[in-house]
Amino acid sequence: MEQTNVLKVENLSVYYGPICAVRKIDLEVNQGEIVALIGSNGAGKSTLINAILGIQRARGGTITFLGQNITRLKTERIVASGISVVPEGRGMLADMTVLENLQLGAYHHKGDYGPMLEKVFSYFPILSDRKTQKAGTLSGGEQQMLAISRALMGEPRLVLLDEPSLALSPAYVDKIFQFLVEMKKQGLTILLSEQNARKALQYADRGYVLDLGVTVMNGPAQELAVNPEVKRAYLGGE
Amino acid sequence: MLSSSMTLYLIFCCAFIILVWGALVPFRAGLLYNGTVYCMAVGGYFAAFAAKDLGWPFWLCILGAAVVGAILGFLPALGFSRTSGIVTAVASMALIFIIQSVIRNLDFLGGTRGIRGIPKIEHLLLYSVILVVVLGAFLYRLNHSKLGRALEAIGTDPDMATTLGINVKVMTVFSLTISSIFGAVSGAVYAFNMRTIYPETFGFSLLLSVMTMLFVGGRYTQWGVFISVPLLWGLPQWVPASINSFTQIIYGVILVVILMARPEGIITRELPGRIQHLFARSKEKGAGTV
Amino acid sequence: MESFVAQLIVGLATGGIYALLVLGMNLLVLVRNIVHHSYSHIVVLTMAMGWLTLTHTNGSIPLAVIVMLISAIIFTIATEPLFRPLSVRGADLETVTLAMGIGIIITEFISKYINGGANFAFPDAMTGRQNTISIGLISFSMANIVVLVGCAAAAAILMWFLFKSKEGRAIRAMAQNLRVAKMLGIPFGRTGVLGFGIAGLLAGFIAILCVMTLGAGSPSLGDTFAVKAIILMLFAGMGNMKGGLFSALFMGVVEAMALAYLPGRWTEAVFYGVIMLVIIWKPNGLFGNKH
Repeated sequence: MEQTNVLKVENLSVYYGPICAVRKIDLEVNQGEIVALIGSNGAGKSTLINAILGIQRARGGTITFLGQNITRLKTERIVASGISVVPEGRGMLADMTVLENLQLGAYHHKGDYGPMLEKVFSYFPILSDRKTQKAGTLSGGEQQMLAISRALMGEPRLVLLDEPSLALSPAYVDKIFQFLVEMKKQGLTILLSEQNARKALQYADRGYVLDLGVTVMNGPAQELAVNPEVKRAYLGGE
Repeated sequence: MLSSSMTLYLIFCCAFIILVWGALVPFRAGLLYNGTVYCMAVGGYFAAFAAKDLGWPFWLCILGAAVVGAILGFLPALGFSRTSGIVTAVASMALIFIIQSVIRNLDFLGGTRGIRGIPKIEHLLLYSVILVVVLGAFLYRLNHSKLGRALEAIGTDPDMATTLGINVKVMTVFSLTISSIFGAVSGAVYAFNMRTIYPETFGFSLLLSVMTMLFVGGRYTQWGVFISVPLLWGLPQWVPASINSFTQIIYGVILVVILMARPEGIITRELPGRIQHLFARSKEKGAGTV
Repeated sequence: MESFVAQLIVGLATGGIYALLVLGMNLLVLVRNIVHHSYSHIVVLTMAMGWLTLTHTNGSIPLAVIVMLISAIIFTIATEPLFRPLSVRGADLETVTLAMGIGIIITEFISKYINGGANFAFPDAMTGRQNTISIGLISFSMANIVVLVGCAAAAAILMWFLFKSKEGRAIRAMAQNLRVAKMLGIPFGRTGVLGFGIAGLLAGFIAILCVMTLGAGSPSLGDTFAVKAIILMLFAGMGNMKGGLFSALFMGVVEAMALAYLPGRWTEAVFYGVIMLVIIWKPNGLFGNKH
């Protein structure tokens, strides 16, 4: 029972007009694991994440979340069903306060989001100190903390992170990933896309390597990290 | 020989074709400029005053109107080089209220009663057609020149245009001034055709009809006006008398429907090219059979 | 001095109505990033509906009020699908023109079918202009006071909704970054319709206040209001709620003072000239753009 599918993507294709961005991709994310999508710019990582969220419509294939087909659902239904996202570039609502950003994360929360707010503030006390400040005034690292906290506010089953390490200092990157591992231990399931393949494979359980819209390789993260081809193409190794 | 009402109608069409062309020039640069109507009032009043009180001949009146329109259009254009989009549209609307109010207060222009008894011009229809041809040719040259492409670039993305070395401010002033000249000339033709002119003409409803003509015909080419202006001016004459009083509502409905169903207007950007293509093909066919 | 205070109150009441118009239009700027130029026309159409109710029934005022509120909501929501395709594309000049087209239709409809195009006057029982209050030498109509209080209340409720409620937060998020708002799961369609509905309710309320202060409506009233409201919006900064509020009150007072104390001839030209210069001088508005 532990190894249940949270997310299952089958045969997914996404087009921008006539241009194919994702071609017949299969992907699985199991309960309580961190899965990393790695690949270079334009490999289709962000497109895949947007397709799962329903922002970019799939032309073919199915996306199943917790046994429910969500391929044709509107984004708001998908979010309400328990997927949340940390958008690329953090997606701050810069003119709104930190607290308002967090409250918006709980837009689909059915009950009282107070306990979740307390929890998030206990993870990142700095957000509590700055809760009446405009989100745009935070530093890059603090904004990433806010974006992740916002994604947690709805108590989702699955969190998608689009390039979480983008434009962050190395110290913050480790901090963010360590936090994600911590969340994983509490039962959260995570799918992230990352250009920084080394870091992603260091913390992830499994990985998918994307290139030009197709999966070229997948497997446990430790195996990918030592795979000679992956090393050469994405890790800048020997 | 054309009936007098038909002549009147055709001359109005010429005046409005020129006017809508005037609004079209800045639109290429992404500006909805209502100052064209303001300059129509300026040109119309100048021509009326010059013809009636100073006894100038027709062409001198037109030229004078163009010059005065250019000057009085250039001054606000300097200000509007700072603004864009909806700000320009609304702020230039204020120009219309200002000119109306100013004219009402100037006794030598007849105040609210306006100027009546503007001298009749023989062959006015011919002259108007000549003006349409000349200004149309000028506009065509402009659109297909470096300046036209610069305006297009500004309309697409002002920041990008700047990086291409286009001086957005100068080009904005230029397009608004050209627009003012077109407006002034159309005002003069309008005045000679009506033979009477008063400030209430140049109000909000005129602005709306210009916009309807611009949006219905297609605001990305200069050809759309040849459909929209005769159609919209002719509407009250052609529809049965029983629904004649609904013309304003019909204008509104046409505008709304066009904007929703065919946002680029009847003549879209691609259409002239496609028609050319069609002609070229039939010519080839013709050549083949000979 | 007494007449000055009376003029001030008249000006503030007029300014309050302008303020609510600007608030309603700014709400729609936030919801759909559109300038709903025909919002004022909807207000006047709502007044006309109230007038029709009064003339065709036995003149029951509560019934007229209910009809006005409901029809304003229906009219406003009915325009939402018209704007949706254009607002998704972000074509702001087209949306203004579309709104103007709707404005023409409404104005012409009123001039055709409501009282044969003449002004439609409301009974004194509804306007409350007969009741005057005198404090010392100053006397002013009860209607102005009611309007002032009503405007303040409506503005406060709207502000509370926008800044303190969940749906208000969602609307502001959509205005700020539609893409991120969608990613957070904010429903574009439903939140938009809700925003239009609230703007519609506000339009109905404005119509009632207009009946009280003006006592009559006319076909051209929509255009008059629309021009003032759109100029005020730019004057204050598009989508800026608080800026719009203050500018509108200020404009109402200036207008009342100008009518009372300035010689009429050049007032309009100077007024619009100053407005135009301010807009050119500060293209983002005196109080800054909010989106």
